[in-house]
Amino acid sequence: MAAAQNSPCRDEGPDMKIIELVDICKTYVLGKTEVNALSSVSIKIKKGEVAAIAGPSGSGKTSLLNILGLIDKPDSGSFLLHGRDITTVPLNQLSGLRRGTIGFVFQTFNLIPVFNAFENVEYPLSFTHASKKARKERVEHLLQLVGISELARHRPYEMSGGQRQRVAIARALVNSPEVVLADEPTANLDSRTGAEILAQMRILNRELQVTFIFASHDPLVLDAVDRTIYLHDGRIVEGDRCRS
Amino acid sequence: MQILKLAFRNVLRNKRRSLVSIFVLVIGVMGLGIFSGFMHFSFWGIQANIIHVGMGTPEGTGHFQVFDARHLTADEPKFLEYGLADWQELAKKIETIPEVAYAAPRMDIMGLLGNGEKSEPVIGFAIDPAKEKRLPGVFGSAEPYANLEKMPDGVILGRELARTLNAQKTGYLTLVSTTTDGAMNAIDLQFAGTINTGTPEGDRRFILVNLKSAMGLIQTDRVRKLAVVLKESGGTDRKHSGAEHSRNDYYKADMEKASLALPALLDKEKYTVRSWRQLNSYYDAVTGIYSTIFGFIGVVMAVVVILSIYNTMFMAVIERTREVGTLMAVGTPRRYILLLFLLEGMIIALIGGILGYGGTYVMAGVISDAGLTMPPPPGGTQGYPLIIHTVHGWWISIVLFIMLNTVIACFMPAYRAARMHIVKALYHV
Repeated sequence: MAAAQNSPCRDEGPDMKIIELVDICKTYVLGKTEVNALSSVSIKIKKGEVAAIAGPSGSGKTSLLNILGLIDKPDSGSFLLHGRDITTVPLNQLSGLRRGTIGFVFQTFNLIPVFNAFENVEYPLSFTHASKKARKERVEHLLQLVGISELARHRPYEMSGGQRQRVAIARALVNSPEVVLADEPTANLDSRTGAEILAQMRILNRELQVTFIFASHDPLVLDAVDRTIYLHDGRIVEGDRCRS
Repeated sequence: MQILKLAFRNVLRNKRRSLVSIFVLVIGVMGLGIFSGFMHFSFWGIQANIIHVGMGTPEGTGHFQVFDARHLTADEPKFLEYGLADWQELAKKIETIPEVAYAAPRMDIMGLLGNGEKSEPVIGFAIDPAKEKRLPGVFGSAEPYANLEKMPDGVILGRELARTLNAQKTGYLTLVSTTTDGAMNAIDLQFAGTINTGTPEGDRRFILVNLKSAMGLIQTDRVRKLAVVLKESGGTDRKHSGAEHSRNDYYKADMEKASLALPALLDKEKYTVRSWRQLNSYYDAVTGIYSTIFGFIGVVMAVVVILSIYNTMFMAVIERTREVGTLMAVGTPRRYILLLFLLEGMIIALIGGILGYGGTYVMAGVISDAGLTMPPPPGGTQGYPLIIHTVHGWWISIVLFIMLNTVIACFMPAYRAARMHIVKALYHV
């Protein structure tokens, strides 16, 4: 259904581009075997879009997401962030860049178990110069935005999967990133909760103009996005399709 | 602050493991602390015994002894040739030093002591009991000196010697010796009591007589030396208290002052001054042995602490690999990951150190108040009380030493965590 409604994506011009990947290749060595996770992948991520990287298991979705999230480096190709090539910046110097640009939402939520919801969301702010008051206001605002302000003092083990994922979304947004990357965000949720989470992300996308990129093969996710990048064996297949 | 909060909560997260680590630290601190307290007590006890009571001799050395300069460097042509002839004026001069309580004349004597039926070879000191009775202070009994003071022709015997010569029953004993001219001479002495020298050999051989009696026997007006005793010497009590140590420090300060004042007062060409430590090498030998044992125990404790903490932190890093990946993914700089695990180690070290310090203090008090007695040292005849001194300075050093080892033990696991590849950490199974 989605494919029928899709058409090739147009280049919206350099001012709209946040990230541009050019001829990205990534190979993993597993024992004596080399696995080509990504082969000559080129994509552009635009401000405010909601996109999905789709494909079967082992197609390279997570590898691409990791490179987009600045937590992994390509073997070759260029990574342009706002037109600046950051391919040569060492991985250990990317934390500051990542903090201000990228937010992460994980399949297994990855909340810090010893922190409550408020502290989990607040944590990334502790590496900024924000005052305590500003941090408190920001965290409370985001918890309200994702609809769990009443659970602020609850630890992760006291929350349901959907509630935890909302905390993770709030944490991803706390530093006002331009892009939020979500790896299989609905995989550990029932379909109703998954739909709610996706709807929530769409609202945040509209209200905050944040770009969301999902790595998923969940039809629920693919139906909810504006654009789908299909991967197979590390290559983009069927073109890069946008919802018409 | 968030990192500190996270570190603290992580310590509380696996309570049993943290408690085991803290327990190891407490045991480490307490083991070293109790041993150091006992070591301090032993040093102090040996020092006090050498000065006030004597170790293997019938009486203490005093704090200093003054000799004729030639006595320690040359052989005497005749007995007491290099003795002190002007000892009375010299004693008065030395007693003008504010820290000095008195300077007591002493003479070595040796000879044969008999009861008419049998004789025993003896050695000992001729002393002025009026002065020397102050020397034992709280460390020994002044009774033999008081008895000798009451009997100008008295003699105090080692306990075993008194039994061998049946001195209690006989009453009078004859001491035979040589005069300074080499002639034989003898005097009758009245049995005035016994003295415990602390060693079987001393108890069989030692005697104390009045200086006047000995001078008559040896036909001299000279003495071998002056034993200089400081004012603070009699006031040091045995009890386990903080005040004891401040007094001990004062006593040390007095030693330093007197060691400067004495040579300044005396003609270097004519007199030689020796401190108790120079006169008795036992103290340095014991401190050397104890320091070596303490160092060895310290190394063993350090290894135990390092292995225990390393194991704890390494397990924590392995178990929390995905969490480390998440922390890095949300923007935590690597140095903060390093800091996080180091802080966790430091929190454990701090809790272990504080509890260990408190435990050492309590245990030292309990042991000291329990009235336990240590067996006699090798060659000794008397046990001594088991007391653990409160040595805050040493204990603080021990806590810092253990904490330093904890941080060292944490460093490798923390470094490993900080060097993790984010993607591998995030997808770690």
